[in-house]
Amino acid sequence: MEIITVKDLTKTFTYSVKEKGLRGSLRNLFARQTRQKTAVSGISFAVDQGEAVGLLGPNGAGKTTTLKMLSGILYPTSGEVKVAGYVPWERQREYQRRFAIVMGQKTQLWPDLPALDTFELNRRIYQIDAAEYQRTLDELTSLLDVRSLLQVQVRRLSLGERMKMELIAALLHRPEILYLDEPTIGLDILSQRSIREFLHYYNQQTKTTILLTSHYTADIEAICPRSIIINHGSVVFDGPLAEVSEVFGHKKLVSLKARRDLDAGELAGFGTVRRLDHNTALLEVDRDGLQGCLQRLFGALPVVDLDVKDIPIEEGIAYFYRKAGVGAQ
Amino acid sequence: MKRLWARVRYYLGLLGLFAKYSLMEQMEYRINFVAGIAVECGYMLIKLMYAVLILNAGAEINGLTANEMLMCIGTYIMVTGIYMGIYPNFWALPLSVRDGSLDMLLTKPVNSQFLITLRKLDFGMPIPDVLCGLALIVYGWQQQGLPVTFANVAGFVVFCITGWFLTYCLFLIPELLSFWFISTNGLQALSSSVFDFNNTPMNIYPKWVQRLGIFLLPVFLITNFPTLFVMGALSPAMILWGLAAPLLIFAVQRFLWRRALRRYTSASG
Repeated sequence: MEIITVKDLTKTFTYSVKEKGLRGSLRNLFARQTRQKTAVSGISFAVDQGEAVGLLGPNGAGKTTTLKMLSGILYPTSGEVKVAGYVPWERQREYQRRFAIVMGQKTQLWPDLPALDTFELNRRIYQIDAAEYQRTLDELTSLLDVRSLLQVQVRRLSLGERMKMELIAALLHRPEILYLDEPTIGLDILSQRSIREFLHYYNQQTKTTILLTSHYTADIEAICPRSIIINHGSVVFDGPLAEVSEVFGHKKLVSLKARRDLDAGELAGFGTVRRLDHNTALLEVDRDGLQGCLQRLFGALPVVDLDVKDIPIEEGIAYFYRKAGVGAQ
Repeated sequence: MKRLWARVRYYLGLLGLFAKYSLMEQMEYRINFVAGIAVECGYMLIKLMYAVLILNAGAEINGLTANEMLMCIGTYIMVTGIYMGIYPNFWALPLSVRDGSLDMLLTKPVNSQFLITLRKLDFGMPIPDVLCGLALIVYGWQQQGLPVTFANVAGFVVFCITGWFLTYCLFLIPELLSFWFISTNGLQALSSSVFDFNNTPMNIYPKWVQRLGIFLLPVFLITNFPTLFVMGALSPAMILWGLAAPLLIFAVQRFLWRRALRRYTSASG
């Protein structure tokens, strides 16, 4: 069943431009030039109840803006959104009780107080029954392994610990929909991993719908069976992340190591040389001609090691980032 | 009716929790807490100077005796003090608009204005103001020999509350402009200066200024009406206006609030 429906969603920001220096500032004081920036331009997609969907895209692609419109923080310029039957930016209390948003760069915790105090505030705000609150809190704190930190002031917590507390604060009222905006940004590898594992487990267990943005493909791979790539404000890919490199499906990568140093000339006949470093090389080869190519390689060169791989997901993503005209890093 | 009462209890409960958390936060930073009280004492002394000046002169200005003027100034100091209790929210609003920290607050199933303007309460600054203001009011009231009846006290309190409410709305409006203009320091200074017209009773000003301050930008209602009511100097029409004006300004402020939230762009991040 569809829980999120987005149709032709567009958000345009107006901003003023300023020429450099004092002269520009003076001109700006009297005659201000404004320009329009389209952050999201007519995107459409739908998410089913219980799905975990990743939103990918380069900086400025409109991922966060989309999440902010879905959570009712921003009004759209045009387009339609229905989440669980509600229009998010009408900010109806019933809708606000049914979702939660966690942003890696923003906090809802009171920094000078222990996280437990913010949890209690949320209990009162969402009017959660005391026994149910205690049960949920126990469950979440043990899953995230932060029970011993509940009494510590938030500002004394590490970034990873803080993010775990943010997740608990967001999930206490058992939302049906969870929006996550870069939840692992700036975290160390272990914290990233434990948050990923938690979110995956939580999605599986509770069937909470998750919409997640991240720059880390590992986040998306671990949590989201489906990904939507947004670029230049529109959807350029929608499907399992593993398929993102299928645009390169007819290509394979062959990495090989020889007994002696190689040179580009002798490799050119086998495929496109991607990298060459003394006795190791990386070749891009047509899948159809792979078998013949390998046979010829073994015949022509003193090969000691050889490996055939798919084009990595990151290259597929980069392809889609570039596709809409905006260069990705 | 039952549902309304449940709503009121819900919001009062939240306000109580905000008060508790704010107090707990402030106790974390003792020096800051004490410094806040000290600064407010300084401002209060400046306001008291007017009172001392008026008392020393012993003059009657446009029908107001020195003691009645003391009551007006006392009300001003007290109401300002109570306003200072929620000032941290107002002060932080333009900053929150600029850096997008309103985001999380806007997703909560609570009235957004309640959450944004009453979340942080300050306890240090209001203490000296409220104590000193009350002292001036009681002293002026006694010296003037005004009867202490239930109607008088209730009327005084009601007009103090509407005065506080007006202060809240009148100071929030310029802050709301930050949704359009981001930086509003100039506008805030302007509204403070207009508010400071209350340093002295309105009778001191020429008639046209009084009219402006009663009807157009009703700042004079805040500190003059409680005293004028007790003196029996308010006509029924004025009493009605004194009760209606805060609601009118509140309606304007709510309208602006809704428009402002539509304008909210949130910082990218």
